[in-house]
This record gives sequence, C-alpha cells and structure tokens, in this order.
Amino acid sequence: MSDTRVKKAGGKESGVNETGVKEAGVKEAAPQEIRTSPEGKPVEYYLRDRFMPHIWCGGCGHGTVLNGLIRSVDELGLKKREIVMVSGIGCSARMAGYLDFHTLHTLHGRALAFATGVKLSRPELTIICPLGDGDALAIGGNHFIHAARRNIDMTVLILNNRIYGMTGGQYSPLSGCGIDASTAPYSTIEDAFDTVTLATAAGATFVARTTSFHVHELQDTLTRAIRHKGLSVVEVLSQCPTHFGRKNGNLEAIQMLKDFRTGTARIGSRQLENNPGLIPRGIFVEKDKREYCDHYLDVIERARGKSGASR
Amino acid sequence: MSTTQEKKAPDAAAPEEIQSGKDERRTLFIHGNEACAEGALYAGVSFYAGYPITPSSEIAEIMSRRLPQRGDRFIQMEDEIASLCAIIGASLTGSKAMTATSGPGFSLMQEALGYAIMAEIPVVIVDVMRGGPSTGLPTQGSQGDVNQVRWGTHGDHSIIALTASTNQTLFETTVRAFNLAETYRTPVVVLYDEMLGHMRERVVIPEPEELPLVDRLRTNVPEGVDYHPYLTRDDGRLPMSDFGGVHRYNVTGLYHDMWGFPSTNPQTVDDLAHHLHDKIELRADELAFAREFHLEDAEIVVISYGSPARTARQVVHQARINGQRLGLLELQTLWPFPARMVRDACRNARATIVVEMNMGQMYYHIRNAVENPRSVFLSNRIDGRFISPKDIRRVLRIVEGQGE
Amino acid sequence: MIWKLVIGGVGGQGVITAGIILAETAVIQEGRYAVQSQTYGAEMRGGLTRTDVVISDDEIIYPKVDQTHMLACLHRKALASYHGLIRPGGLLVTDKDEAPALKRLDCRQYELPFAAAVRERTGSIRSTNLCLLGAIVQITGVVQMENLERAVQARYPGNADALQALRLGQEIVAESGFRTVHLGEDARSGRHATSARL
Repeated sequence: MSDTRVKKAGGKESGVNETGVKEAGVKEAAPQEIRTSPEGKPVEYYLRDRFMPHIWCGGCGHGTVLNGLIRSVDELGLKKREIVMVSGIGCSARMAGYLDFHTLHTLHGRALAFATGVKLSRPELTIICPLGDGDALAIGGNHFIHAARRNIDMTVLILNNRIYGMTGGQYSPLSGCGIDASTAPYSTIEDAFDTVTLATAAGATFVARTTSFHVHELQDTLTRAIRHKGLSVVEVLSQCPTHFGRKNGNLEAIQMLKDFRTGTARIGSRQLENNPGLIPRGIFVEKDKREYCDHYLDVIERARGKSGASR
Repeated sequence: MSTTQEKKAPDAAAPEEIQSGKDERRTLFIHGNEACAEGALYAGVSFYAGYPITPSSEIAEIMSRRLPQRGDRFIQMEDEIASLCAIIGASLTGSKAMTATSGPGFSLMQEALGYAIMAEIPVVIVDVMRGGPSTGLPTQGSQGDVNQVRWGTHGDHSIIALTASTNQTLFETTVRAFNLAETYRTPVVVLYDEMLGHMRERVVIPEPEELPLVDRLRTNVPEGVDYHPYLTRDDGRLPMSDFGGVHRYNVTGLYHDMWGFPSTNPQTVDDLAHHLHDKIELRADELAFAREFHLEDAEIVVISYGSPARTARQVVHQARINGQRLGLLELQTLWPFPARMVRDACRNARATIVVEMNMGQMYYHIRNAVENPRSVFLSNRIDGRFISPKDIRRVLRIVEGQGE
Repeated sequence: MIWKLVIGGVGGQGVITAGIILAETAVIQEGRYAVQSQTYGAEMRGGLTRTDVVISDDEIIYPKVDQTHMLACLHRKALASYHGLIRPGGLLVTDKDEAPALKRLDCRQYELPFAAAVRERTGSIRSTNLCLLGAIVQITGVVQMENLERAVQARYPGNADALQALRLGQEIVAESGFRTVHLGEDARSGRHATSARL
C-alpha cells in the first residue's frame, strides 16, 4: 500500500504550514526513524515494552483495536514523533501509553480539550485520541460535540464496550436499555446515544463504525480516518467479557465476537436491507470542510490586516 | 516619605525608574484586566484558551484581538474545564500559555489544575475574584478565592499564587507569573479582585527587555539518547522537550517515574510527592515578594494584599502624618505563604491588623506565623463594597482600646 | 493637589465614559496621575451608575471617593443616592431637567440644562455626557480645556458632534455667569482649597 504514504493527512511532510506563520521546528527524519517498521514487525516497533504486560483482561477487545491502530499508522508511513496520542481515563485510555509516540494521558473526559490545545499550538502534528464510551460521551460529551463542531483535525477513536470496565462494570451512556450493570442491578432504563448520529449532528466530517471482530475493516477505517483532514470519529464496538459479558447472559469473548459478526452489517449491504435491526457498520460521513487550524490562518490574516492599518 | 521602601523582586522595575523613563516606554491609561493582558503579552504569551466570565472577560477579548496579530493562537473553549486543559496541551508543545477566569470558572478548573501540578506543566491562570460562593456577586470585588487557590484541588501539593494592588504592579506580577511558571515547571495563579480588574489608572509599559523574561529550559539531550522528562537536575530544574520534538515520552496525572511512566512503587510515589511540595515550599523565602511601607519602627503592623492594600496604605500614610507609628506589609506572594517575612515584620509590633475582603482567609495563616497570635486582628469587608479607610480605622480604634 | 470627583447617572447615559475621558486627559495629556473606577447597579441598562475619578499630581493610593469635591448627576435617581458624598462646601453640578438640585445641600449648586441644550444643538441627547464634561472642566479647571479636547478627539477621531458637545458645556457655564471654583486638597495636609476660601 505504498501509494497511501505520500498522501498523508494534511499533506504536510515538511512540518511547515502553508503560510509559514509558525515554524513547526520538526527536523528531517533521523536515520533510525524510518517511515515504516523494520522487517515488517510493526507491533514490536511501535509498542513500548516497558509498559508490558498491559492491564487489559483476557478476552478484551481493546488489544485487537490497538493492533489495528498500529498497522494503520504503519501503513500511513507516519513518523513516531509526528503523532500525539491523547487519552482520558479508563481501560481504553491506557492505549496511549503503550505506544511509542508523544503520549498524553489526561483526565477523565477531557482528552479532546487537551488535544485541541496541542493541535492548535502545533497543527502539523497528527492527533489520535483513544476514548472509552463513558469517557467520550458521558463526562466528555460536551468536549466531544464541540470538537466535532469545530472540525479540528484529529481522530477520535471510541472504544465502545457499553460499560465502565476499569471501575467495575457500571452502566454507561452507550449501555442502552435493559442492560445489567453493577449500578443497574434491576437493569437500565436509559436509552443509549447513537454515536454515529450524534457525531454527524455535531458536525464531524468523518464518521464510521466498525468492530473488534472485523480487523481488516478496522485497519482500513482507521487509515482513512487518520488521513481525513478534519474531525474523524470511529466507533469501534469492543467486547468486555469481564463486566458486560458476565453480567449480561454470561457471555464469553468468543460469543461476543460472534455477536459482532452476526449482529452488524455493512451499510449498503443486502444483509442490512433485509435485516434493518442489525447495527450498521461502515463509513457514514466523509466530507470536505475547512479544517479549524487551517481556518484559523484566516483569523491571523485578518488580524494582521487590521493591525497593519492602525500601526 | 523617606521611610517608604519597596522590596524589589529581581524582575520588577521600581516605579520611580519607570516614571523617569522616556522614549520607548508607552504610558497607558488602562484597567487592571488590560494591565494583566499587557503583562502577559510582554512576557511572550502565545496561546490563550478561555471561557467568558465576569469580571475577567476583558482579558479574553484583548487576547482574541492581539494574539492573532502576532501569529499566535486564541480559542474560546466550551467551558473553563476545557480552557485549562487546552492550555496545558499547548504548553506541552512549547507555547507560553494562559487562561483567565473568575471564581465559578476557577472552581471548574480545579481538577486540571491538579493535573498541571502533577505533570509539572507551566501555565498561568488568572483569577479575577468576585463575591462568592456560587454565582455570588458577579460585578463586585472580593478576595474569597485565596484558600481555594491553595487547596482547591485534591491531594497534597503546593502552588504559587501572586497578587498586586496597582495596575503597574499587576503588569509586573503577570510577567513574574510567567517567569516562575517556566522556572519551576508549575502552574502559577495571578489573583486579584474585580475592583482592580475594572479600575483604570496609569501604567507605563517597560521597554522590551527592560524586565527579564524566563524562557523555557529545554533539554540538550540529543536525539537517540535517553531523555528523562521527570529527572530533576542538580539545580532542581527539569528541562523540557516539546511535543513534536525528537524525544517521545509519556505525560500522566498518575504518580510516575522519571520517564513519565505510571508507578505505584511506594518509593517513587513518596519521592514525587515530596518533590512537588518541596520545589515550592522550600523556596518560600525566595518566592516571597512584597512591598513594605514604614515597617522599621512600626508599633502596629498592617498586613494586606491586592486592592485592599491601597486602603491600608492610605490609613498608614495618614497615621504617619498624625504621628502614629503604623507600617504596612503588602504581600504580593500569597502562596507559598511567606511565613518568615510575616513573622519578621510583626516581631516588634504591639499589634497586627490584617486587612482583606473575606472572612479571614489570610488572617488565620498570619496568626499561625507570628510569635503572639493573640495580637493579630482582622479588618474585613464581605458585602461587595470596597473596604474604606474608615473600616480599618474602626478596628484600629478597638485595638487601641478607644472603642468604636 | 488631589481632586476627588463623582459622576452619577443611570446606565446608558455615558457617565462612566465621561469619567474615563476626564481621567485619561490627566494621565495621557497632562502626565499626571488619575484613577477611575465605577460601580454598577444590578441592571446593565437603566440601573444606577457611578464613576469615581481621583486626579492628583502625585501617586494615588486610595482609589475610591468617600467624600467628593464635586458630584455631577445626570439623573434624579443618582442625585438621590449620591448627594451624601458631597463634602460640605463642595460642588454639585446637575442637569436642570433630569436631576433638579436639592437646595438644602451645603454646597455650591450648578443646575444647567445639559440634555436640552445638546438636543437643541445636535438633534440627539447622545452627547450629553460630553457636554457635562465640558461644563465640569470649565467650572473646576481640574484639567486644561485644550487637553480635554485633545483627549476627546483621540477617542472619537473625526467626530464633530463630540467636540461640539464639549464646547457647548463650556458655553453653558460661561453664559450662566458662574465663576470657576478652586477645589481639591493638599495631599499631605488634607487641607482644602475651598475650606480656606469659604
């Protein structure tokens, strides 16, 4: 897939933005920082072994998502130091630290606010934010819709396991109605957000959904999301056998993965047409719209015009 | 008066020097929020994120106009939480970053304030105080956030908080806040009240380079060699590396080791907790900025800070004319608490009167610092009105045994 | 010398702007010291508004005015609230129609038709605050009139109405036959020029 490498998100190879307003200060690639993993072993190349073993339970879907992300970054040919991973708090948030990028492990729900500061200050950097469903859409819901509204260039990865795993299986805004959780012993009575509809309504210019079962689709979707210039939202259904599975029919990881296969269908597919109750997968939105940091250059230009006149 | 002296910080120009200046210096007639913004611009702020709130909004308005003119970034975030988070992110990439707010917004910032302390990220937060708690008195002054600045975020920690009583000193204090944030890799709070924020007076903007500016200390560890973001140098400083640069490391609000990797190792936790506390508290004397008026032979010492210090100074000034031996210690550093300075100032005094616009938030710390706590009295005002000389004189009369 | 002045009115009348221009004249045009502050009522429009201006040749310590050498009012609500601030023997300048003077007050009273005159001259009462300002300076001499004009021109470049309103205030005072009063106090002794004269 070498053809994708030259068309990196934003097309900024030099680290200097279009107007040269702020020098990126990124030097040319050092010899040891080659653009793809050596010997085709991307997982070893990008992981920080200091952090291993990881904290995720056996059967958790998050490791699969991490694998897909690594392969996507490798495929894109991004340098390690061009990527900033910004995460919040939760099982998904630990993903940031495991990768050998600039990594910012922040506060519960606030990752996108931190990421906005990083991106606006250094627009040439590629920002990836792995968030959990509670992190992104409960405590972080406001930051999520506003980041989408601004269309700031970053990839928001929502690992949706429909539960708060790290704190012991409490229900989340994506649990949906009729789910058992440690804070819903009599089952939930709240509906879930539809992440795709919410992100679309808030203005995200790339919106997709996939699952931890569909690993090739996951990698391809992430590649397109990261390459997209603007705010990208990728919801990945990821299984939590420890908490969600155990409390809801004693589901094991294998069964939950099988459910992702049978319970979802690609948008536009005959399968979905015949079974409208299935959860649609695919890319729902992919459109061009002026990106925030790029648009900000207009503000600078207007400000300089005005100050020039008054000087 | 000849006995008036100003205890100067190394980076503060004395007023008389400023007044005698000419040519390059600009004389402005501006309110406190403008003076604060001018100080930040002088210090080289290049990133501002904020959320509008009375009585601080003018700072955001000025930044939205001025920063883009310099090619720098301004963003209005969705709330104060996001504002502080955004400037922390921007600071990590190498920007000098700030936000400004008032009490309710500052309450929302407490969690991220703790993050900046824990992750040792330099930022400047301006809190223009209004009456509280809650929505309180949005358009009236107060000094009710003094203890919130110190203990608003959870866990043991330390913090630097500075204040000022005139627009000129507020300008210099804001510059100093940026310098201290960069020097100690820590958030610094600039705290003043609505009265100063909206009061206009003359400010002389120093020439470029007239006040020293501290630029970020960056690591000189070359690419490919291990860089430890949280390894303190012998001189106590921690060189930084900008996100986007050659060193990749982890930043977290968890207890962490010298690499920035999370750790629950008891020794690592203990070391970091002490480091965060000691890097500020052990420098309390060095960080104790203040102005002193007639303290040498003072029988009664007045201690105040922020705009009420002007009322206190007026009372001291008038008392001296009448032959009474009053002196004033005007604190410009609130945290770390300048205990030694307070103790020394009050050592030979018969009584100490603390003047502040709250229910005694500094008073209790001053009582704890002096040798004779029972000689300390509080003159305060909490109704939104600015404290007047009459208010202080009333307490003075009681202290002197003359009744109200 | 130190001067302490208070201008009162209701929101929208521009009394705070008048206070700012007066203080700015002292600082920027005359190189003196001045402090201007304000208090608002609860409402932004229609509520009581007050601006305190202290002008001095030396550094100003206490920024507020507890006793004023001169109170100027453009609204009766403001006069009712703030007349107690006038120092005995001080000065009261009010709009004849909007804030009729209170004869019982121990002060020199200047009751002049600012709003009416401005309306007649410019067709709108918008510049009444500047007319009042022109009158205040004509009466007190707290700053030089030409410096005030310069400050107004700097703030409203090319606005002829602003300057006209200022001069109208000056004229109204001159026509009324009132003399210029010397107010203010010695900062060190606290002695008042007025109390020596009256």
